[in-house]
Order: sequence, then C-alpha cells, then structure tokens
Amino acid sequence: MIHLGVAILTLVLAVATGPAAVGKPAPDFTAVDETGAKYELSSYLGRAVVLEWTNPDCPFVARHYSADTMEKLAKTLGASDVVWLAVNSTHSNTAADTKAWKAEQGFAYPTLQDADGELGHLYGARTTPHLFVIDAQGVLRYAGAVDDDPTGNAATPTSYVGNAVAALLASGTPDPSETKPYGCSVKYK
Amino acid sequence: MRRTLLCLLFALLAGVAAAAPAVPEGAAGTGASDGDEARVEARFYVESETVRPGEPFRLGVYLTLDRGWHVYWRNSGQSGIPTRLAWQIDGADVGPIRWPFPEIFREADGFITTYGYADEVLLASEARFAPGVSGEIEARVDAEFLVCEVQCIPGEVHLQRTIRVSDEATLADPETHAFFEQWAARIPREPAALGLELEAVYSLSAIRPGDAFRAALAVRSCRDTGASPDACADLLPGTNDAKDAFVPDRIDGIEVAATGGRKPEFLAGGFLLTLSGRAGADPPKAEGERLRGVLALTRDDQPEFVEVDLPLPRAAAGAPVLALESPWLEPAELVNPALAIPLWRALLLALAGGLILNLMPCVLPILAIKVFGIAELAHQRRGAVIRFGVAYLAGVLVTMLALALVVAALRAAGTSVGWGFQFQEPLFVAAVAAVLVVFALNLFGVFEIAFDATRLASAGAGAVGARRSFFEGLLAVVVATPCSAPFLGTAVGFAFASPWPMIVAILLAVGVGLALPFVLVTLVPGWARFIPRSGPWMLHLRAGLGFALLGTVVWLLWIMGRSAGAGAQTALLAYLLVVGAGAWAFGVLQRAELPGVARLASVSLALLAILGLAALPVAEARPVSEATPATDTMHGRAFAPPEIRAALMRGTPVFVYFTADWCLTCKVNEHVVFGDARVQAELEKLGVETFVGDWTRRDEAIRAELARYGKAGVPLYLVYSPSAPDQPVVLPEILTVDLFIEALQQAALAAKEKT
Repeated sequence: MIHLGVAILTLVLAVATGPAAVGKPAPDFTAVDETGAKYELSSYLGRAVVLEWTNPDCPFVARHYSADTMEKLAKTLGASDVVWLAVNSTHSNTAADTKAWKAEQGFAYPTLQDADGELGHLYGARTTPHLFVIDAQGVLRYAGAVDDDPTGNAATPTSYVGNAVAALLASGTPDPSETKPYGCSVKYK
Repeated sequence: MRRTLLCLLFALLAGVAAAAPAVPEGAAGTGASDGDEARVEARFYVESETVRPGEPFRLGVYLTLDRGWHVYWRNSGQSGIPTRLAWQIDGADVGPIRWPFPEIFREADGFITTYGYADEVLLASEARFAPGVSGEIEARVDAEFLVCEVQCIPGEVHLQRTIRVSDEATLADPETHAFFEQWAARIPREPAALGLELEAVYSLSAIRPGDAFRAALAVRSCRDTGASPDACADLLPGTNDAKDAFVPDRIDGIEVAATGGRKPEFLAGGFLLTLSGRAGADPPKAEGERLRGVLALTRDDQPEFVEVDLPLPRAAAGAPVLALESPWLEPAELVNPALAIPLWRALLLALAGGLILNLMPCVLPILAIKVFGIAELAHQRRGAVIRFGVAYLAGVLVTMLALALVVAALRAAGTSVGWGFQFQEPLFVAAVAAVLVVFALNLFGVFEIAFDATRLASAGAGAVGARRSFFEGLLAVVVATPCSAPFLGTAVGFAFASPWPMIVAILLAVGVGLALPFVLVTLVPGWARFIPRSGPWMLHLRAGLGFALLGTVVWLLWIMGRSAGAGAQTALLAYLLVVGAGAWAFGVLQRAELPGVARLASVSLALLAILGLAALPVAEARPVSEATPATDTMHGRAFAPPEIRAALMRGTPVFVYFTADWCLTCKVNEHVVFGDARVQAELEKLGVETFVGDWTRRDEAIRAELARYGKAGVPLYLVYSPSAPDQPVVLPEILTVDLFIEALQQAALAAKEKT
C-alpha cells in the first residue's frame, strides 16, 4: 500500500513538473543503482550530468560497448565536471544482471535501475542508446543519439554528446541540441 | 503493437495472391541470425529477364520475416533504423525505393510509435540502363535492416543476379510482373494522379522552436462550388482508427502525428485529419521545410494511398507569430487541468471543499438537525458526546467510501460518471425522498429509531443516539452530493480523473471536511454552558426541523417531475404517502410496547418500502428535451460544440453553462445571477450567444466536456471570446453579478480588439 502511494505520488509529481524538454529544467528524480546506492539529480547542481539509456541485450548498445564509446566519452569528459549515469529501463532487468554486465564490460559509472520505467517515461527515453545532457544549472540541454552513426559504418563519427558537453563546459550552446535517437526501442513493461 | 485492419487485409491478399515467384541462385539469401535461425529471408527480383537500354523496368528486394518480427519504413518512427538498399549495377540508374504504405506499431502503451512492415514487404525501385549498354550485366544489391520483435537484430543480405540488356523488346515475366503490380497497389501516389486535393492549415502562422501546434489536413476530390455533393467521391480514412491513416516522414526537429479524423459537410465528400505536433529546441535546419508523409484512404470503399507534401511554415525562435483559427481545427486537446495539481493540494482542496459544503443549500437541513443534536447533547456526559461525534464521522466516511467504490466500480465496468451522478437516477431520487420523509416523521415523534421501546426512556443516549448520528452522517453525504462548492469542483475533478485509490482518498477527505465542524464541537469541552436547559422548546425545534426536511422532499419531487414527468411525480407522492403510513404504523406498535412485533413490523415494512420503490413507474427515461425545457431565467440553445464553434467564427462571444435540476448551487446561480436585470441587459448589449448543457439526466457528451475542464460535476461556466476560441475563461462555481458581467465584457472587448 505504501509502495502504491509512493508510486502515485511520484507520478503526480511527474505530471506536475512535466516531461523533460530541451531548454527546460530537467525533471528531478531519485533512483538507485545496481548496488542500492541512491542518486538524486538535484544533488549534482554545479556539474553537468549525462543520462545514458542502456540495455545490454540491444545490439546497438552492444556495438557501442564493444567499441567502448560510452566509457571513453565518460573518461574524456572528466569525472570532476561531468557525472555519467547509465539508466536501464528494461522491464526484465535486475541489479544482478547489471552487476554481471558491468563486470564483463569493466566500466565504472553506475547504472540506475528503472525496471518499472518511471524514469524512462519521465525523460521520454525511446531508444537504447538514448542520451540526455543536463547542464550545471539543471537544465536539459541535449537529447538524442550519442553520435551520427546509427549503423556503425562511419570512419569518424561525430559525437553529438561529446560536442554537447564540450559546448556546455565552454559556456556555449549545444548544436544540435536535439537529434533523432537510433537503436532498439526501450523494452518497457 | 496494433495492426490496422487494412494492413491485415493486405497481408491476407498478398498471402492469397500468387506466392512469391522463384528467383535464380544467388538472388536469395537470409539475414539477422538469431541462434540457429535467420529471422529474415530476402529475394532479389527483376521484372523482366531482358531489358532494353533506356527503358524503365522495376527491380526490388522482397523481405519475408518470421511471425511477430518487423523491419522499418523510410522513417522508422521513435526507434529503429530505416531499411536500406544499396544497388551496384554497372550502366544502370536505380531510383529511390518506392515504399508501400507502412504499418504503425505501438509499444509500451503507445509511448513508442514506429513505422514499418511485418510478415513481408517488396521494396521496389525503378531502374533504367544507359543507352549503349548491352550483354549480361551483373546486378548486386546489399540490403541492410534492423529487424525487431521484442529484441532487435541488425541484418545484412547480399544478393546478386544477371540482367540481360539487349535492344530486343523488354519482356516482362508475367508472374513477376503480377507480383510487382500487387505490391504497387500499396505504393502511395501523387494526389494529382488520383484526382485528389490535399491542403493543410496550422494553428500558428509559423512554427518556432519549442512551439506546440495543431494542424488539420483536408483530403477532397472536388471543391464545393455548388455542384451536387453526390458528384464528389466519398472519401474516408483508410484505417480503422483515423490516427493510423497518416504516417509522417521524418522532419528534423518536428514531431507530428494524427490525432483523429472527421468528415465535415463543407468538404463535400472529403475528410479532415487532425494532427498535433511539437517543434524541438533547435532552429529550423533548412529553408522551405515541408510536411511530408503518406496517407491511406478509401474512395467509395476502394483503398488508395497518397503522398503528402505540403508547406510547413517555420520561424526563428522568438519571431512574432499569429494564432490562427479555422473551422478545420478542432478545439485543442486540453491537458486535463485537474491532474496538474499535486496530490497534497487536491487533498487540501477536498478538505476545504467539504468544510464549505456545510454552508451550501443542500446540506443546510441536515446541518440544522445536527445543531439540534448538539443542543440535545449539551448536557450529556462527555464520553457519550464524543461517541456521537465519532458515529457521525463514521457515517459520513462509510458513505463516502461506498460512493467512491461505486464510482470506481462503474468506471471499471466502462461507465464514467460524475459528482452527483446518483441524482440522474429517478429511483435514487425517490429513495432519498422516502428516507427524508421517514426521518421527518421521526422528528415529529411519530416513531423512534429503536426497536426496544423500553429503552426509549433513555433515548438520545447510548447506542440509539450513536446509531442515529451515524445515519445522519449518511444522510448528510447523500444530500450533499448534488451541491458543488468552491474548491470542491477541482478536488473531485482530480479524483474522478485519477486511479481508484485517489477517488477513495479524495472523497474521504471531503467527508472529513464535511464532518469536521460537528466533530470539533463535540470535542471542545465547556460549550454546553451556552445552550439553554432542555425543555419543551426542544420538541418545537425538532418539529420545525422536520418541516425543513419536508422542504427538501418538495425539491426532490420537483426534480422527479422535471426529469420523469407529472405521472412519475404523482406516483412518488403516493409512494411517500404509503411510506409515511407505514412509519406511523411502526410507531403505534412501538408505543404498544411489543418489541417483537415492532421488530418484525419494521423489517416487513422496510421490505415493502423497497418493493414499492422498485415498482415505481419512474425508471423509463423520457427525452430530455421534452422533460426539461430551458430554464426560465435564461434562454439558451442546447449545448452543441459545432454551433459554439460557428458562433465564435462569426465573432460572437459565447457563454456556455452546464447545469442540472438537482444541482442546487446551479439553480441558485441561475436565479440570483442570470435572472438579474443588469446581467440580462449586458447579455443583450454584447450580443452574447448562450448555450446550456443540461446534465439532469446522464449525458456522455456533457460528462466528457466537464472532464476536459477538470470537473466531475456541475456547475461549469465558460465564457468564450472569439479571439481565443480554444481558451474559454472558466468562472468560479459561486457566481456574482459583477464577476459575471466583467467576464462577459472582457470576452467582448478581446473580440473587438482583434477585428
């Protein structure tokens, strides 16, 4: 019953703050990662945040992880200025699955557990991968694909996320600030 | 995932029509391996074995998918990847893929929409060999696709075959030709080639980054220039749900989707699709962006597919744009304003609304009885007093809970109801009238609410008093519901638009508010000092209150007369007479100190009363127009959205009010405000057109309109200005003459400024 109440309350709050839109304050959330550690978006004010929707079973995600796209990006952007948070909204995903995958891939950033899809719906995450960049003031500044290379055939793909974060760190405006994300659909329940 | 009937039909047709023709070795292959299985088979078709240079011919890749899997259209939608074909044919020019009309797939309850093909698709192109080419030409195609069921698998197939190019006649293989033709029927064509005209209007003169907009797309085969409409073909959206009839191409930075369709008379056989869209944050990429996509329709029941390519006005961020109006554009789909408030506020509003409800005309008679009860209790022990308070609260809450569960159950059964809905049932009105008569007789002293006459000596104390308090709580809720109060409309609107636990929570909060004043009084010690000692005055007060209750019965009789006619009214009166006689008989037995007989009598009398109620000839609904003439204080036309739009188009301010005979708040407003001479004069002067939505009886169109404004019940007052036909001003539930006149004047003023 308490769970139901909390769920409804969160939903009502989500409706009250509205879904995520580029140029608008990013909706705040509290979520736990695979270890149970808590993450609250509003606690990262002053640093940029990248949200990466992920699903190890999706071949697009698998391709990027075997090429270490996300890990390299997260490292280049530097942990001091940029917080990288993966989110898995796959309905069948468990913390144990995430731990196993993390051990296999060896990346460091946390993966928020969102099997009920609440965070995914709040941000309008449609694909894996689907990326969101939030600036130091908590405003959503980029939403879309990680790069311009859906098929993985480009020799030198343009990293939309890398450029967006670089623009923000230089106090500029990401261009483009919205792209069409590519990949598998998020496997919501 | 939803499949349209049309597409199913095509799948069927394709299945029935000749199976795909055979292809030479090397021109067939598989892709997207999933374990040991390949999810996709591909074949490379050429329409003619021999082609003449310079002459067009068709070639294509035919994909067959495992059941439940799909590949994507040229715009994959919100996920996926468009299917790609790369041709390598020396000396030949291969045109773009001619995509058959796609299916719409919806995942996660419509949160993710994609466009593509299930089961099979032939992706054909037109090609031409350059003059001078001849001989056996090696043709090669690489197909790249993403195929998804729940999981997705990227696939690649390489196919090749030889094409003989010669100056001899181009010879089509009849079987393959038929196969191409069969799929060509699904390829959208230019509107002109089909004798169709497409046109789009937008709700904004130009769309800036971040703008939400609406649009309407008109499809017609002839203009209405006085020609007989029979001359125009009958066009309809080609899918079961009009929302699926339009599939948009990808427009960078713009998301657009069809929301519905309608067939207005002015389109002479044609139809309108309503669209809604949103522009992203980035400035438009290119000049001259267009609204592109494909449309499925039927012309005189024959399926047809059209390419849509219409202007899409864009503007830079911050540029001045005009809001446009057109009868083509339906009123905006409002985000339910009731849901835009947080839960704690809704609960607070419910509590405040319940409190104020005590001052509304419906609850006043019950409140009067409570005041009397307080006087009676004044000199009881404190413990007993608190018990009465608790019993009253329990009565209110249990009834509210029952009401909430009934609303939730009705909704689960597919019937949406609103606040006060029970008064739309004549039988319920009859039952409440009977209960009030019985209660009045009790106040007159005709009988006591007790089975054991020996305990009457201590009446007002102990279990009897508590039981009565509970019953009073029940009655308070029952008669309170046809009244709305400030705050209450919003709170209840929130509840009725929310999941069922919310309905329960909000209605219980209303109950707490309703019961609070009385409960507080019972909790505060020392108030008894202000009440005179009990004496004969109490008996007089009791009788007086009985008459107040009978006054409420008069109102209920009026409702019955209005909604079910004079016959039903008379039947109800006769029934009340019998119920009264029964109560009197019960009182006689009670006084005869025959508790056993009295108990038996009470049960059988109650049974008789219920049976009598069921036999009342009031249930047959009569047409509302016949039963409820327009109110005498204000003349208005019956609520009709098209007429309201038409009036606004003419530049007339419009006032729409929703009322019900059983809604006392409504009736008070109508009498005090609408009946006021100044209001009447102002309405006339400003030329306001008035529309009335009468909700005395159940009416789904009115319920839905109330819900659009976050209300679950009447009254609702809307003042429309022609300058903003989609954004009426919602007036408060309690009207005043000044407030109403000011709203009317503002609406008229805004209209003038615009013209």
